[in-house]
Amino acid sequence: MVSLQNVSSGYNGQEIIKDASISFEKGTITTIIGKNGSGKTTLLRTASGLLKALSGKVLLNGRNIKEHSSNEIARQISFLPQTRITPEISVYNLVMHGRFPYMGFTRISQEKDKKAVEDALAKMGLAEYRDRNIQTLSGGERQKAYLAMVLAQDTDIIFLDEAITYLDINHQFEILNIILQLKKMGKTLVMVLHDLNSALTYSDRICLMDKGRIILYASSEKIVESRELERVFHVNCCPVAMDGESTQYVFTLKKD
Amino acid sequence: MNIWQKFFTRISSGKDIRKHPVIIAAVFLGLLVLGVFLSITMGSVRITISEILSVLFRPDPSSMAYRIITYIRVPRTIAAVLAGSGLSVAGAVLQSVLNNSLASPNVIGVNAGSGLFVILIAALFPSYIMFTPVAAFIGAMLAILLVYFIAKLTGASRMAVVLSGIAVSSFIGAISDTILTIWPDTAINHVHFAVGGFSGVTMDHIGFSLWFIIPALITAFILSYDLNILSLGDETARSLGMKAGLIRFIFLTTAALLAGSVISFAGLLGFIGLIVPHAARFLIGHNNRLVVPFSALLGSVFTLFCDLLARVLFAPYEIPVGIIMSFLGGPFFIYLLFRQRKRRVYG
Repeated sequence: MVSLQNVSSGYNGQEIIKDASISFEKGTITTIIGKNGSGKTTLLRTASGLLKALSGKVLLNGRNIKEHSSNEIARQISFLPQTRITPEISVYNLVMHGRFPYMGFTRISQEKDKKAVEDALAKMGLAEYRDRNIQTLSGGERQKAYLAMVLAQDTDIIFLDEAITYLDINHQFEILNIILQLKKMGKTLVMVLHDLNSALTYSDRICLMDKGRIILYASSEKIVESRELERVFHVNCCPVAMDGESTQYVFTLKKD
Repeated sequence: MNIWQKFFTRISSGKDIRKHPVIIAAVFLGLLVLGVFLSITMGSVRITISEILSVLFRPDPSSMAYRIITYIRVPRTIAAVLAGSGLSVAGAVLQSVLNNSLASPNVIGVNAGSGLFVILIAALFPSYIMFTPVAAFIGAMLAILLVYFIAKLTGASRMAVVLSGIAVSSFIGAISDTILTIWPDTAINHVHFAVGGFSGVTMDHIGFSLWFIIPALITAFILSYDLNILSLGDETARSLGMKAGLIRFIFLTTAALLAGSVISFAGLLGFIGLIVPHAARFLIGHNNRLVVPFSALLGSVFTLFCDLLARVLFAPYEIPVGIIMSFLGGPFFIYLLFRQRKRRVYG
């Protein structure tokens, strides 16, 4: 489990997130939402150990994350950034890179690494794409390939930065359903999303941020009830019951 | 269809061949052996096979064949192999680490940095000329770090690396020219050094550089898989547990060692480090675990044959091998720029 205690963090000594305290619960999906520049990605990077906190503590399984080696962290936390360099490599080799934290000095993959890669490819439905150059894949297929790499990394905690941005609606649903599958496997998922409806629909907990501070950390229903969402984004939020079962959320811009 | 027909069919289609690195390695090892043989036998004085055999098994130090083979052809051949493999691996490493297909020792200012320090030693401290490889390495390392930090501070885009390389090369080149203007009688032939070549190379020149080149090549081979991880970008590499900053520094040091050591005996050879890694990727794909050793192999073969051309093209006159490489490298660089533009346009 990852938790932050009074963490301030940012770049070049400048604070972007201030005094953040939060605990991401095991086996849940938490989505961080907020306006552009509110510190969502900074929070994600700090919680994953990629960005050092300026003050406060980040705890990984009860121990300060600074006390863990980079390899130890990589075996427990995976992070998929929003912007990535896409090298000219096959899907199989990309997914094998997920096994890097488990490889020895020789960097030679063992049987268990190959099995983890095959499992990840099968779970993502990418077995037939294994020899394809990832640069030739569509945005949705490429995202699945990167998720397969994350799956092969076999960590309990997964951080995803805007995993469905730039994807068409079908691929968005596909990726979100994969995220639900990962949760069913017992993984803890923390992600940044701009699509408020998807965030409220697919998450167990929502972390609402504004100007570098965590405003609310609660379930979707409580977030909507609090009307903080409407204040922060300056929108009206209207829950709509679909098929008498699930609830979707429609947003309109406030007119004042 | 025999194996050769299959090979050339695959080469021309450019598809399946990448799955057969063993065949490609065998072909280029064969070419390397042929290149070494031709490099020893060809030149202003032809050496026959029987003369080679007699030098090997009945050495007569007073014979002309013995002296030519031992003091001219063998050092020259070793120099070509080392320079080709060293600069090509340096290019492959730099292209991956800086994530820039246009990066190579001469493009990003490494040659200029090495050149400056070699000229400094030759002009100001000629009695320490034996430390030329160390000076060349320091110059290469300073130039790499300077370009790297300028590019990082100005946005770290692919173009920023190339442009800062050009700026650093130009600035350092001006310092070198100033030194040569004030001290025209330096201990090195400046024109020969600037163009690059292997004529006059002796085992003494190579011997000291070997201590740097061989460990640097071994380091690059061992860590070649890490280049694959680095090519995913810093953030992803770090999330996979890699100490990206440290590994990048090790690779930059390795590239500087390779380039600096080669420059110390071969001069400012250009474009091998640019062309050869691309040729290797064309043949065996983008897995750096293969690209690095294949760059070494292809670089050796390419340099050996360029040197042979330099010797026989206008025989009995010899042109510096650097000229041949620049003739081939200039158009190739332009081809790469067009290919990048095409990729941007067509996605």
